[in-house]
Amino acid sequence: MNDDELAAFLENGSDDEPGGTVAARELRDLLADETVWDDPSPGGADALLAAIRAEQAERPEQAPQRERADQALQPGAPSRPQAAPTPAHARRAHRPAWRRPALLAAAAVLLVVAGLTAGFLVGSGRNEAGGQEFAIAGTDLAPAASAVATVEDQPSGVRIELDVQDLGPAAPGTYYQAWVKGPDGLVTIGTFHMRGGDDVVDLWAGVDLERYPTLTVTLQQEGGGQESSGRVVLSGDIGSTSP
Amino acid sequence: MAEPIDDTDLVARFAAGDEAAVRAVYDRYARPVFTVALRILGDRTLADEAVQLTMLKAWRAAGSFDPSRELAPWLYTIARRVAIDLYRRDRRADVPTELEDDALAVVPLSFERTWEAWEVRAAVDQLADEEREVVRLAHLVGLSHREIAERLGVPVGTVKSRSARAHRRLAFLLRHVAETVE
Repeated sequence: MNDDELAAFLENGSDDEPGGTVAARELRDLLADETVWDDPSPGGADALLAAIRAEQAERPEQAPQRERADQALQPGAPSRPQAAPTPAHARRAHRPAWRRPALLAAAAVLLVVAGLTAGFLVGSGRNEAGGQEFAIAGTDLAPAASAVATVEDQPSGVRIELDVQDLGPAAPGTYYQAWVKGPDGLVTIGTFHMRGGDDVVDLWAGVDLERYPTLTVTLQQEGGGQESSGRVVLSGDIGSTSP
Repeated sequence: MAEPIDDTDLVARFAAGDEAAVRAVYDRYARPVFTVALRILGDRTLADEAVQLTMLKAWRAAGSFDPSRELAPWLYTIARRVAIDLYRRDRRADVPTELEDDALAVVPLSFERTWEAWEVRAAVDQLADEEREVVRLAHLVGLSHREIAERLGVPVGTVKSRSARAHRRLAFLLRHVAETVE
């Protein structure tokens, strides 16, 4: 099949037409597939540039390598190099990716020891107030970030206190959005920006977390619509009922 | 239309974080990456995440990229691996603990033909806007030339000429894919 024949088949051929080869039929099928026509959400290039700038700002003397950024992606941020980090970020040492498991393990040990000393289990247990605590990890887009989610049933819904650490401030024009998700779908539980540094964020869920067991935080663009941007910076399981 | 950029020079500037190069790489390859990720993951949100992670990983690794190779297959390999990792992560989150097993993270049917999908997407993106819209309406929406003409408010003859031109271009761009598949 030469170019003219392939063009004619792609334009006018049908699957039961004898002239069409398997390959040509596959190409025709792909042209009718919606994945070939759907586009990524807007703002992706700006988000990528912001992430690159964040990594470069931390390692100005190095060429880009496999080190991770401490800051979340910031779509909509100026594409020139970012201003100096906040004092909290400036104080924070960069953590190579290979150290994360060791750091997490050490942190888990410290949490358990501290929890036992204080009389309650921290990490995936209940605190003194009866709330259940879960560790939330930063994703590859914000590898230094972490959080502890304290989940507590209240008469009006499920209160989720998210104690967020080392998640960079959302750039102007962007914000963070928290979600719970499961087989039944995705439900938003609040938005925040972290421009004042590490903080405890109050979130509320009106759905049963047994059916929405995964908590995620995404970076959203103002005016970018109500759907998740897909830029997940924090993720963890909060649906387990076992202490 | 933007001037063509040599891949060797583009990757060097991309590795250095040059804004124009980063945008050029993103503009040229984000949609094929998204197409591959969406076929594997079946979820737009996850596919968006896959695009960001793929581009970030590519930038981190660009310093070691062999300039004698083509950029597209290299990016495709990263994209496919990222999408598979996200797929497994998402599957683990959805599967009850007692059933959780790597064996469940089997390759779904949609993993097939992801390279062909990348190539088709890249070819479609090279069409002029008005030609791409005719192809989209014909193949994705399933409209006839007459219906496309009504939709776009142009003569049927214009639709036919755009369609013929677009399909000749697609055949030229995709012939190597057809030969590989056969």
